[in-house]
Amino acid sequence: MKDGRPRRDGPRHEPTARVEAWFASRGWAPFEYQRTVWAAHDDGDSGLIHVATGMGKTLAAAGGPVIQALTAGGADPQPPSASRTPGPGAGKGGVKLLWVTPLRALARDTVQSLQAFLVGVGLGWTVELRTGDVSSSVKGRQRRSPPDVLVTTPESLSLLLSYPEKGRTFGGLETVVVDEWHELLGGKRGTQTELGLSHLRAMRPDLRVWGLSATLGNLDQALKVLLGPEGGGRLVAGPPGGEVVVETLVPDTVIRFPWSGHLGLRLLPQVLEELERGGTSLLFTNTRAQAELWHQALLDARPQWSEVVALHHGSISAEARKSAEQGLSDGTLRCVVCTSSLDLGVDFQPVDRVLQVGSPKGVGRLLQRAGRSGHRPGAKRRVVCVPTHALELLEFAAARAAVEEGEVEPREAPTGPLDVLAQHVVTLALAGGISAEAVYQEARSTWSFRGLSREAWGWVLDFVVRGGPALQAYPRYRRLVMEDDDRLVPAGPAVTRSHRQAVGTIADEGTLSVRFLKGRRLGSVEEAFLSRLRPGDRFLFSGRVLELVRVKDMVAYVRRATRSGRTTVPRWAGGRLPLSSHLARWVAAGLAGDPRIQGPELDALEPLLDLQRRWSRLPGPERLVVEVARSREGHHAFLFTFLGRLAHEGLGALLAWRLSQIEPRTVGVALNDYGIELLSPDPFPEEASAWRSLLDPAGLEEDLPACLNAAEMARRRFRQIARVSGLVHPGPPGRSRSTKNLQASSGLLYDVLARYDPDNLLVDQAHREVLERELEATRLRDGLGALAQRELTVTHPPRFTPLAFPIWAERLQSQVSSESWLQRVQRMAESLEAAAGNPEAATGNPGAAAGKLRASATSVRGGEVGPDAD
Amino acid sequence: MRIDLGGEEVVLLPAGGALLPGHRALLVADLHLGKGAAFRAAGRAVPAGTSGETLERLSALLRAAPRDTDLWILGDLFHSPSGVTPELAGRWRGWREENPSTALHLVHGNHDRTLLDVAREWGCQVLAPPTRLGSLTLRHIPRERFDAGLADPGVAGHLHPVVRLREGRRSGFRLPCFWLRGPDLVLPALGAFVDGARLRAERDDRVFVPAGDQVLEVPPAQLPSSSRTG
Repeated sequence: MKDGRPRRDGPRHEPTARVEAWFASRGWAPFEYQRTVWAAHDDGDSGLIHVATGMGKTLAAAGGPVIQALTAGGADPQPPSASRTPGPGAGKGGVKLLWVTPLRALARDTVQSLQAFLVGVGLGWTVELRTGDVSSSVKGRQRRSPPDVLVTTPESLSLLLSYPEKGRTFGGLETVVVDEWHELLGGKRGTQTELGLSHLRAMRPDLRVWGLSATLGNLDQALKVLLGPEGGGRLVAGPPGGEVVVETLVPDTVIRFPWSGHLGLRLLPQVLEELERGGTSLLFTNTRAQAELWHQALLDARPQWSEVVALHHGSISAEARKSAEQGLSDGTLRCVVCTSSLDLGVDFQPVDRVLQVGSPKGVGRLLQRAGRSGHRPGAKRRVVCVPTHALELLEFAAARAAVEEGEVEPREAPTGPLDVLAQHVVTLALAGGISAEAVYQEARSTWSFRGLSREAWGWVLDFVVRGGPALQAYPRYRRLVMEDDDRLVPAGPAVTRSHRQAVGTIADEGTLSVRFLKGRRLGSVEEAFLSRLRPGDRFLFSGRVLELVRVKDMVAYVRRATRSGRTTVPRWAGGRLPLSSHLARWVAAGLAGDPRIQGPELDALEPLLDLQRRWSRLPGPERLVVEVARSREGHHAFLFTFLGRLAHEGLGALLAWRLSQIEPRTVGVALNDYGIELLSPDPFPEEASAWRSLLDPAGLEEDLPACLNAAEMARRRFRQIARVSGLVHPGPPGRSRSTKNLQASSGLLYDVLARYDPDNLLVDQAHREVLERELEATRLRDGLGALAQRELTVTHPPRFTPLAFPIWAERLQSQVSSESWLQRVQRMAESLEAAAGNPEAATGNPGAAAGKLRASATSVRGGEVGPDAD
Repeated sequence: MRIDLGGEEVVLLPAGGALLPGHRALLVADLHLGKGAAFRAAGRAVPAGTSGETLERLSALLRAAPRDTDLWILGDLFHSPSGVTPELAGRWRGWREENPSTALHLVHGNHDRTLLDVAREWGCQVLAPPTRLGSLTLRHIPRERFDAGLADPGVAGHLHPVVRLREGRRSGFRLPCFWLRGPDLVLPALGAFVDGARLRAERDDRVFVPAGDQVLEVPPAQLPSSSRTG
């Protein structure tokens, strides 16, 4: 900063006074943290602001650059007007403030609030949007004459860096704001943003970067990922968002043998009662299928609400989503049934109440959803939880305790994904060539690639220039050309064109667009779901019962269903979130009677807990319980390890493998967030010491890849990697003749690479991602370390215990079709319930009921093509 | 596995070809030679080796066939013009030297359309579909199920059929297969760099998969059908 600049904190500092006056005109006063950010920005600092939704984060981040511009004399001499004509100083010197946001919907809202702010303080800056939705003529004009403020997404930022005009666009850039950084941070879009920022910093060494984030368990790391390990920066906390009250609709009777699957509709009457209390409500569900079902159930129960109950999830058309968002802003809707699609800060008026159906699986998510209500400072944020499963009562009580203690999950950034780096190198090279060494240095300045070795970098260069390391393995490869040992340029205009279409890291899930015969688009569903339907079949989608007419050119044509019949609900991938380790710890503590976890939920659960105590033991943070039982299905062992679904997948496979190493045997595995079931025709060890050695963390790294079908998992994982690195093109198949010949599935590419270039680092990356992201190997390693500290008790319950039963039911569900599964689980639950109520029956064989059920199931096994688990 | 197709004996080979002993003919489909090179030319880093592997498979089929067997390729010998490189031409010449006396017939497919002269240059007799061989018609694109009565049986390619066989519900594996579908026997794709398309069987369809050194018929109950289930 120059000496002699006006002091912004003095009482007569005019620009700050203008900003404060604008706040006052709206009946507000700046929060202290906003002033802190403005002052830090003025000092040339970067940083991360963490603040609850609705606490003025946009103005906190925008205020600094605005005050700076006003100080530099960019203000209109005249009082502000709402005119959109650019004021003095506009359009010269390129973009001054770049605003990066994860969602297009968010981008629109941001443009509006920034415009209102700028007009209000009389700064004649132009604000424009640059996302995939913007027409190409506007994009072209923006490159020739950039606006002062550009609001964009990580993908569009990358695209802007691929044009030779990037020097004009960003040559005068002062500040970058990254909105919703916590959303970007945990995935490859975050890595893409890191790399984009590193290039902007190289262009503008004094660049200030401010992130906006919800509260996270690892804010220090989030700051380092944003600014680079050497980037310094300040962490600024906003005001606490007001007390969060977590309440639960406790059912009148709690079944002792809980199982998931009925989606909580049992509590529909109580939910209706909540909604009838007036005002606007958000009903959050965890899956899109669940949202469709609840939406339909609400309308079936209250047909008169058809105009005031809306649906919002990621697969319905943008138009339908926008209309739901508009309805929330206007306050004309009574209820919107939604998924995580409304977790992000799409701006609308706070609602009167938030309901959460099913476990939120994490404390952070529950807080974020609760934050959708009562945005006034100091106002209580209330979230009403609707259990879909008896044990979720415990999760709600545990989440409340975690909220009270202020514990939120961390989000980890991916480490060094080479597919993203490869894409980034090509992107930069398109803008008239780039120095390879400069890109290496920029990448090394980011958190994700701080440890990037020369060898790995050399591989990436080979990948984009030669296709792979061995020169003759990739003859006639054309993508980038290396000139003078350092300068990377595109091999031809076709490379430039096709790469620009492919920039981004969001994996295409293979979806078909759903349209009415008359042409209106309703949204998209996964190909895997639609491929199971035949013309005439009915399904619930976008809040309507639809009948499939035909599928043509990646479009499913539908009409409103008229005749009655069986209706299915689309199943979308990725519905099953694992319980976060934080929440899992609290749940285990709750079982063990931790006094911090209490409430009506636990009172209602008491009969279940009591039975668990009577038939076995209650597991907890200090005690690992292994239940060994026998049924006509074979020998069962249930371990309540509380590591979450993903880590349990690895642990289950590990235990099965280690058991079979001791002596050859077949072991089946089932799991949920709480524990694992092992099933075998042979008996399991009964001594605690044997289980201790099976759970030994030593040797995990070697055993884990050996015991899993890691190759098959990596093959699936390769889909995103192939897409990001440019091996497959994201466009819809058959869009144009020129790309039609270049379609290949990522699975086929994986096979070909693994066979003809086995040292390919992208194949290696797929394996690492499977271990870290899908099996949570780190969590498993830490978890095994913690389990070794627990007391281990082996019990022999007379029947399946209330904690074991849901895992058993889960296994059954993976084996049989949904209808027979429902019947069998219901019958089993009834028989166990009878045994629980009648202590004498409880001495019988736990498998008596299961054995009978099993006989009835064999008839549905062979050649069964059931729906995949959601 | 031997089946009867309109009175002709057809032997299904586990390596993915069909032998007509009565005509000394070996039928294959969908080689897609040069596909990897076409990808590389467009900046998709697919390693070399797949076309060589495809020709290897072809040689193995011919070695196992009786002497003086003709080769009939039911379309998509090539993938696209950008894949027809000097390297591929060289590899083809090498393959030809190994199999100098085999007569080559190409019933051309959609991918061959602009490459018919190359095919002729490479020694193929180029034929437009449908072509008759005994009582069978040979074509690239199979007919719709009810386009012709079963009285006019044929052999075709184009669909690259694979079948997913399930064990229980979680696991399962995909196998390229022969698919008897309406009037036409659809051959599996022979190419090493070719995606399969999962078939959906209808009533009366029959599906055959390679199992080690033999070919087995998949019991109809095991077939993923296009009728609604579970």
